[in-house]
Amino acid sequence: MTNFDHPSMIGHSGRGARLAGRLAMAALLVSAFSAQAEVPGQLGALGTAKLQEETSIQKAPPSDSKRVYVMDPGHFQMTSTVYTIDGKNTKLLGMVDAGKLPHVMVAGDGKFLAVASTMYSRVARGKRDDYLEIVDPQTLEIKADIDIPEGRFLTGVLERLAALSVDDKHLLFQQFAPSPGVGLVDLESKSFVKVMDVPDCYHIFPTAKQNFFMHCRDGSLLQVSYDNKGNTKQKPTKVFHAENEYLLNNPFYSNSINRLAWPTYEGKVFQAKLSESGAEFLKPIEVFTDKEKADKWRPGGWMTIAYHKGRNELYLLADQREKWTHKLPSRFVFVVDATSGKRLRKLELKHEIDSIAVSQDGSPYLYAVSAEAKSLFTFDAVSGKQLGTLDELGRAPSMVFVADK
Amino acid sequence: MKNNSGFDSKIEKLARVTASKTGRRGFIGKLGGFLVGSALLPLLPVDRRGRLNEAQAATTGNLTRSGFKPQDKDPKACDYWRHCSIDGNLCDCCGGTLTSCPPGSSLSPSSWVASCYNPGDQQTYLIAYRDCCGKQTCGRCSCVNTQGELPIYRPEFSNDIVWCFGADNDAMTYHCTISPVVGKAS
Repeated sequence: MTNFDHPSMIGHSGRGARLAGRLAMAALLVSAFSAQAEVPGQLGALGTAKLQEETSIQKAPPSDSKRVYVMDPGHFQMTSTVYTIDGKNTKLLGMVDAGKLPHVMVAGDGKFLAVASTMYSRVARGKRDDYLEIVDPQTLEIKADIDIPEGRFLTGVLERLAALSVDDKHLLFQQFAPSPGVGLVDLESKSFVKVMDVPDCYHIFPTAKQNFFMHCRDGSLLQVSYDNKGNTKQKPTKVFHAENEYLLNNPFYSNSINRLAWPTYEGKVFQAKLSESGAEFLKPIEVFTDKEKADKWRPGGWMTIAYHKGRNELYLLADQREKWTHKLPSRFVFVVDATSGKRLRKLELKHEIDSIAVSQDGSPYLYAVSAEAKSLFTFDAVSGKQLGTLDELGRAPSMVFVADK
Repeated sequence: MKNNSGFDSKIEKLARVTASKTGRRGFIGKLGGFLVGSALLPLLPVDRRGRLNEAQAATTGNLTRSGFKPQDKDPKACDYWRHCSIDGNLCDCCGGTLTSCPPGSSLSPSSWVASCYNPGDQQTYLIAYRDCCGKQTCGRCSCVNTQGELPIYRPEFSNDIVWCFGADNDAMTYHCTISPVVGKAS
């Protein structure tokens, strides 16, 4: 409530004093309208009654290896929600707002969350605004809001169309139109640098010393090194998969060990170790036996693959299915040794699961999201025992993220 | 007390005949089997996605893991043959038609394509999935079909992209999708 007998006006006279008083009044009016903490005066005493109990705003515990984020884009809705969850007890800690089809990235050590969003000035029309927010994982407050060009590639939410650099100092985001490019953001100076021209390649897999790789339509990778101004050097790798070996849209990639694992529609997993020196392609793994292939076991869902670094295990979400049903959810996870391909476990999740992730600690949890059930299910990644459920997660939660370390 | 009616006599006769031909233990066993079977039936591992979707919305013909089985009768159903690779909302359910956008939206001149088999004339056609843009997502008749759908590095066959490139006012906001025919697939 504005007090027009403000002390700043008392004891002054003359035109100068009147002018000063009016300026002060104007300032007060502006502050009254802009201050969100103001309570309307007409509420009276009851509306602002003193409480017997203390109230507060919760602060989440520090992020740890079992912190998990579930993203609900509501299919293609204009706003999205990122649910922040303590995986240890499957407890919801809070939420982060995001715009249309956001990209969500967890810092390697979990110390911050980066969310790239798009909003329009008039709901679904008007001026487009793309921006990047850096979120504190405990307070869920926005620590930085960085404007970026309106060129973020809008797709059904996919992994690695935007990525943090391995040292978390840069953020890279893919542009599709008007021409292929990768936007470079300097997180230390909180500023956009440049859209770097690239050929018709997709996904972003960063490595050390300001390098990243992309996957190109001919089946090769493209290595791109960049300087602080966005000048690049680019060179392709060999073609590592055939044209008809279609790679599912969400690969696994670890920023900390630069390990890439990428399943095909039929369950063959291509792997590579990436570095500034180039790409080392590993022997591909066939997750399913010939009999299982004959019985129509295939991967399927949205985020279908996860990897546990310490155990060197690959987790593939799969079910018995006809061809061309690769985006429908699955009820099983096949666990294989990531070097030999040897089958280690087959976990039955007993839910229709779209996306999986695995925590990287010594007692890993498997996180499984179901868009249909609007739920996160938590499992012991070794025994397969279900440990918890968190339901009512928005409209269509479809992605799940954990810290890389 | 009422006199025995004809109905009562028939029931009594039926009961005596049944009792004379059926052992009590056999009858109870069969009854028990029926009851247990009825109780276990819902626990069998059948795919209930279609039933759930029917209960929650008017959308029918949703894809299951058993694959796409096209029909040529109902264009508002997800299994209508032209929708073999659609991912999104059918404009036909949102105020548009199979080939026109709902009022107030804008039609993109770009699209992903797929070859879809029409069981009506047993021909295969190339379908262009054009998005109608500039409005909030319609939400009705939501379908995810992936017949011949390719990864995003083959964008012309990928249904994950917001295909609003070139729509009026550069509105990259997805409303729904139409399914016009490009021509017969060669």
